Amino acid sequence: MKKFLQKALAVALASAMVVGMTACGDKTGTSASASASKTSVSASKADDSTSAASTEAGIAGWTKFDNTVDLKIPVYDRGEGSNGVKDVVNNDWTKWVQEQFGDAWNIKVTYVPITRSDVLTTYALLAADKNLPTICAEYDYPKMTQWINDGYLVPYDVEWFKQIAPTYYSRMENSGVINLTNVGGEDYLAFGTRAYGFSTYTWATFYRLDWVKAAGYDKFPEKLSDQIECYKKIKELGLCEYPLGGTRVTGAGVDQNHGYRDYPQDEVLWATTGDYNIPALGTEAQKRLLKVVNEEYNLGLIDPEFYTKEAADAQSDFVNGKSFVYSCYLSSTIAPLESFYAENPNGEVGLMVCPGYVTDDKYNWSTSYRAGLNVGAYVGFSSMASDDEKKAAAMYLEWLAQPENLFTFQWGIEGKNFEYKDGDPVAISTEGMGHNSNVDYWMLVEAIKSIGDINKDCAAISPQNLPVDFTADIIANYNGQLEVYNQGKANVDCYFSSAIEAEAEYAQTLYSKYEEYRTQLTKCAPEEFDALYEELSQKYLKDGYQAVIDGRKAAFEAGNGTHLSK
Amino acid sequence: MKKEEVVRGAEVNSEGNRAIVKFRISDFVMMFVITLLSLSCILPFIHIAAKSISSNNKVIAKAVYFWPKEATLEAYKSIFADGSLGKSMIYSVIVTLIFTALGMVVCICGAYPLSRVRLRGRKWLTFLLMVPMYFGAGLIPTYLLYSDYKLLDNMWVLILPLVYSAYNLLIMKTFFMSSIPDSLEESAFLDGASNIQILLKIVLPLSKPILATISLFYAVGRWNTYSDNMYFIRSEKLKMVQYKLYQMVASAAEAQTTAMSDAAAVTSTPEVLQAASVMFITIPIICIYPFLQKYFVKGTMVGAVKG
Repeated sequence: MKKFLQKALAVALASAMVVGMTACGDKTGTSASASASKTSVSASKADDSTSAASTEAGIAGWTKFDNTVDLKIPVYDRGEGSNGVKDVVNNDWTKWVQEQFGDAWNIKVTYVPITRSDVLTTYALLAADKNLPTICAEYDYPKMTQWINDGYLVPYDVEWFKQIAPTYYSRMENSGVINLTNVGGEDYLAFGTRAYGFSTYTWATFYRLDWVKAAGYDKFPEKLSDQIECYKKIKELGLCEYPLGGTRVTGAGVDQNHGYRDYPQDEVLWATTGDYNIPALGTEAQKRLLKVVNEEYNLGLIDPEFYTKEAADAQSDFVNGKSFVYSCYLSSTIAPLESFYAENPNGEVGLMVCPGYVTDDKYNWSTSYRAGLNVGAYVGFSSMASDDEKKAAAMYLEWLAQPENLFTFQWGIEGKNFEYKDGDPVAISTEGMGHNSNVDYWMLVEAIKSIGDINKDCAAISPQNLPVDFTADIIANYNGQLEVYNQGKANVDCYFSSAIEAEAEYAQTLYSKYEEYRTQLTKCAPEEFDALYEELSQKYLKDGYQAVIDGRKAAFEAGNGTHLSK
Repeated sequence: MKKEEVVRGAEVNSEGNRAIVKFRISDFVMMFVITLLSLSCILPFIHIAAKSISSNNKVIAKAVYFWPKEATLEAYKSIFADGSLGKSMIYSVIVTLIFTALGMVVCICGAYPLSRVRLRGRKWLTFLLMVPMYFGAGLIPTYLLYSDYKLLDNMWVLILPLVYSAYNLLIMKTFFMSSIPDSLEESAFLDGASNIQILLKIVLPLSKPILATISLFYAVGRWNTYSDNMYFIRSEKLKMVQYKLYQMVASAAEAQTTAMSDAAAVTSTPEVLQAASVMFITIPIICIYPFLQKYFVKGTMVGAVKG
């Protein structure tokens, strides 16, 4: 009997673990099948409210909820909690929102951290757990259409939204693209705005002005052929071995071919190949672009090892005087520029200015660029939220859009974070302001901080503590882009209101293939370029680009795409 | 006259005093290869250390290799002033200790019965326990499972799911089978000892090397794993220090490659601060590692014995 008990104990010890494992297996199996099915979509639109509705629109018409309503707002977690940035879901600003907004309307505001480097996975996990935030927000329109397709979002009644959030809605209307709310015939999206959205003035390219002067020019040449001549002279003078440096393909948006397109653009070609994420290998515009790169390479203007270099290498090359250009977003502090002046005290840096619409027939080139919309982040209501929660979300957007609340969120505390200079706020410290002055919170309303005057806005992002003030150049660049835009030579990409499945399926493959093919096309002999381009274009189409083009064409012809602005 | 013999190029006298009097090419090649391997581990570390105490200007210019330039401790001051990395470090140590303790309990409780011949069906049980080594449920089912168990955003999600390790259990079971003879148990039974008494008073005291080795495997495994933090933890205070470091580096890389996207411009942690954070997190492990290294070697040897 004792032996039996001993054996039983031994079996029990091992079996306990097996049972645990088996239980896990059953559970996960069930979960797997559950996750395979689409997230259920709430049948009701976001248009009912259990609270008494007032006829007065906006905050004046709101009534306090009888029972506390949970409001979950997504906020990007950029993982820099140890870099002086506080916990993104629990800090002075989240407490401020609760005190100023939540407590006033009996709403418990909770922030949901969204891993910035893996947004789709984070939302997928939350959706699988039926625990989506009350609103889902993202900068990328295709992600929103994908979430609509996956059932994460529900449509809302525009009149209901206007009643609760008239300030927010009027901002959307003033953006000029209110039709973006409509996806597949129903209003799913709200969106924050972006001042001067057509322009890319916050992105700048700096260059070695001292080298340009040494090459015999007083400023950076406007035409491409003159620019190439300038590079050649810089190389001949021995100022720089490879003036254009060069890097491997890094990130989305590489090799944008807007400057090589024929204007006015063919609308179908624009809709099917004119996007931002998948390089348009196979198009005439891309051929022109890559042919110029090939010429520059064969002239010895590009580093032969360019395909091994990362963005950080391009940055250090510029700082070390081994490269002619460096591009980055503008902000009051640009560390690489500070490093440049520290390493090259006699160096001169200029900022490339768009000269307006300039063409160069030799290369079929122009100063056209990719225009953007006056849209910041897109916002959609979760299919898992109750009507009260959706109403609370609309109230939150309206409260956030109030000028005084937005200003406080963006500028912080007077005396600590900003002070007034000639009547305008000037940032003096970002302490306690998180990333880019809390942008991850107020992005739901506005993408960039704007005083409302382009000259002042340009001054606000002009890099400080440098020997040169770039403000005038930033303004001139903006005005040049405005001129190009007004001539209809800068177009916004086509926005599809239905998900293009081939994009999701092939984008990553095509991205990798493009990197490979681009390297071959850059390094080949000029006389071999045309034949090689044709050969690689065919391969690229077979790699999935043809499927992407077909998917976009079908969606466009079905009326699910925006049209080219005339 | 001393009897001389030659063993692998070294002359050894009969009293056992070895003295290398020949230096063959093969020795040189081996030393060269080992030196290269060692340098491939050490040099990146020295590079990071040098960057962590250099000025940001020099680091951006990629002018720092193995010696600091414009030396400054500003990055370290910043880390200590912020304090959050220090707190995360303490938290990570606590999680690792609890995880290791529980892991050992589970491992011993699983390995010991399975190592005994008298356990019927042990081959079948062992097979079942090995299944998770080869098959996983996938991220979303796992996430839902933890959600059902209320483990999400909870310190225990970093501990409980991984306390069972088939690999560690296999090694420990092999050790018990090869090192603890059945006759020892039988004599203990004759003296009236129970299973628990045999385990606690005979088996475990004789198994100190494997206990130390497996403890180390558990501790280092937990210390180096951060993917579960990424998916199952949301609160800043519950993130382990390794994940914070990963986020910091990933965020900086993202900021560099997000050119002209629709997203807003974002600042990222300066490279100097990243390097200092890496050092801050790594130095404690580097300090204790030499004292634990021998157990890693032992673990490899034990694992090599046929089970």
